[in-house]
Amino acid sequence: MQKLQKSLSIKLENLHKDFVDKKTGKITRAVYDFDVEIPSGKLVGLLGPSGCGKSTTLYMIAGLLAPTKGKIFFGETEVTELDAEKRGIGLVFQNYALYPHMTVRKNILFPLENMNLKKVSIEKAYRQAFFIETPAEAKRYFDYVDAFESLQNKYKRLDNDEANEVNNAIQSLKVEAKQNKELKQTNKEKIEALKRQLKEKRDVLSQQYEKELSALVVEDVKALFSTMKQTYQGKEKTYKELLKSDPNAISPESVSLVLEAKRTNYKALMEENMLEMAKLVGIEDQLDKKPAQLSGGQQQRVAIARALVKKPQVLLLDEPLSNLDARLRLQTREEIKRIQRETGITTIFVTHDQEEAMSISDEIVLMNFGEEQQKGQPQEVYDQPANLFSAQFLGTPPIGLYNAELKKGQVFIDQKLVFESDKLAKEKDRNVIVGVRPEGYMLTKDGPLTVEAQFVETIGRDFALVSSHAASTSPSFRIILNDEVNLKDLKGNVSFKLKENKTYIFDESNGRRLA
Amino acid sequence: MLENKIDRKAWFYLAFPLLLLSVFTFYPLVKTILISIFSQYNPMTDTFGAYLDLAAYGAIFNDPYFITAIGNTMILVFISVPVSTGLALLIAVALNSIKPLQKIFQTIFFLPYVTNGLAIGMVFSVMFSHPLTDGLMAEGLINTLFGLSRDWVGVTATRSDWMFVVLVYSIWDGLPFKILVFIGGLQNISKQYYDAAKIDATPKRRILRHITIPLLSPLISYILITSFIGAFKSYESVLAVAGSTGRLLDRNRWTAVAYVYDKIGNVGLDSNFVSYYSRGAASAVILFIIILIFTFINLNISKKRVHY
Repeated sequence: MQKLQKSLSIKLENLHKDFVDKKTGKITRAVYDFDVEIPSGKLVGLLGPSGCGKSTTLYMIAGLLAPTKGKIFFGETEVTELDAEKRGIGLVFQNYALYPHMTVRKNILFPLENMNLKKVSIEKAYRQAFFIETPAEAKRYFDYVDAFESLQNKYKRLDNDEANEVNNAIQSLKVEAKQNKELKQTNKEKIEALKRQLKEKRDVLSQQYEKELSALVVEDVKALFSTMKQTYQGKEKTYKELLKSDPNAISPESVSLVLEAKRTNYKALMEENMLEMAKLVGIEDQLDKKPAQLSGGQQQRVAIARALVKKPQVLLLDEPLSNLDARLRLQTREEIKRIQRETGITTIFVTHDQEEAMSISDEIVLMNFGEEQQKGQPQEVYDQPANLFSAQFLGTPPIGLYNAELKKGQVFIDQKLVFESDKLAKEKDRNVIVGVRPEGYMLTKDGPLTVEAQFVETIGRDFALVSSHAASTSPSFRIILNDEVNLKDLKGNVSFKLKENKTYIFDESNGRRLA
Repeated sequence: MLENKIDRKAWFYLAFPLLLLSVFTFYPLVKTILISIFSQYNPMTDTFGAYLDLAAYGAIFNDPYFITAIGNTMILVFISVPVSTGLALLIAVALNSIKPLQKIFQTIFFLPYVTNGLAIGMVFSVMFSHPLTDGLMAEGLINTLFGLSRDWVGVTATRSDWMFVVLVYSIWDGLPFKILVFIGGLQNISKQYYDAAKIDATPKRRILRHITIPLLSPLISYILITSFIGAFKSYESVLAVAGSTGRLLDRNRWTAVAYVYDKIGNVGLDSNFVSYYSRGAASAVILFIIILIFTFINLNISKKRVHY
């Protein structure tokens, strides 16, 4: 299968999103100063616990939510103010949002039918034909049309920016006045002043717009267009007359372009696109069923096919696997990976399941409280967590944490030295938290860390020793050991040495990683 | 076996409504049919008479007023129901898409529903009134507004004129309940479908036609079936709007139900020795059959067109 259209990179520039409760005026911070660049053609997982702002971020990229502050770029173009339908994205909703009254076929065709493919293609063909026949005129004409459109968009955006800024300011002033009665009068005046300023700014903007527009105006737009049209129509007419006498006459390139565009059977073309997508996701034998007759996994595939059929440049998936059972989840995540590889489309997917994110993403972005915590390749983030949150969130079984003391670059748990590093030499003596990955323990007779063994879980190839420790932050934690260990040794008090590359030291107060 | 279990409790609960239904629905139904086929039924003595024939049916089909009544009913049914349902749908969609003042508009549109229909009808007939002798009384509101001197609902009104007013009244009267039901239905449609449609760049008209209406179709079908049945039984609307003084209805303005009312008010036999009461019963049976057939057609169509 050939690659889809060139995919785009996505850049988010200090993106903010606040939700304001209209009744109480309470502001909830959903996304705060989010800065991320997602390379083109990559599969990126947006990972974080529930309520961390990852879905909000996704919907802002989709254009269904407007950011409070910040910018979104697709490739080089800013799309912050662009409507969702103009962004050229495909979105798969958490519960798929397939239209229940349409068959699978209709569901996948629906986005295509919206596009009015015929009109768009014929217009495109005419444009090409004009460029062939009357290059100079066409260039002037279409440059003008394009410039006019982007000028309009630009001023619309500027105007919106101003209005948004002022509205936000007014909103916060109002909230302030509500909370503090004394400010009521002054804030009212401030609001009035703001509104006046906005009006002035808008006037200035519209003057600038008029100015730029008049600089742009081509005095003879209509004449240009009619010249192009007449030249082209002349060509077409000559060709058609020639055809009467000589059925093998070769048509000029421009004419064949337009005639081809008019002749194409767009219905068949759409059908073809639909089938291609259905085959890509493997549901070509389910086309005449309604969504309710399909299993969860099949519905998921239909949703992906519907999102991809318009050949978007970006694919967004909101918790794509959360509605599937465990087995199907494994299968579907491989499927998503495969589809992404085959199409080469930039894909962002949101999940709270770290295993899911680690297993299929090229890169993960870890979020919490609306802020980015860490970004990188899954293994890299796992091996080198930047802070306590990253360390805790990634990995099953979870990392074991101990309260410890840092003295002169050495870390002590229960007065016993468990870890030392040059990196800690300059740090002040204080309490720290030691994190040890479950696979970071080595059974050693007189090792420094002695845990109290509770019981052993056999998980196929490996054992997990469930144990507890007085300094541990949780009542129990798991230690993974391979089958070379004698089970008899794992009773009562068991001593371990810690592997240096699996042990991390965090600041107790802010969770920053020290070593 | 669960399926064959005799649930005494359930039967006990059902017994009371069944009893009521038998006394007030099944018994009258059977008796009406019986009265209609015994053409000399005497309501005073409640005796069926000796003639078991279809003379009553023959009599009503030879009665031009019955044919007119059926015609009036059909016009009412086939114009007022589709128009008011369509309007209600558009208004509901519009109401559902505005945010400010939504509650106020909802209340305004619902007001007619909690107002007495006969009273509204009388207001209508006053609005469309026209003095028979010039200058005796002022013209009604509509005539004044549009500078007309037309008799809309009075004695000299033409059929199309009074029918127009009755239709306007019925459509308007039918709106509030339908709007209420549709708004409820619209608010039940998951917002995700609209988000998905937005991502797919669906034009507004296509959203209405391909998403909103199909997802609302169970309610549309429910509203259509109940309002068709209601419209077949309309009487009050014509009486209130186009009745003359003393609220009597001119024979040419009868609906099917009005015909029944008129006939069962008469005692005795007509010139062909058919009891008026039997004729009333026969027309009631005919109306019943028409409604039955029509509802079956309706249900069959909705089976194909409605998505559940």
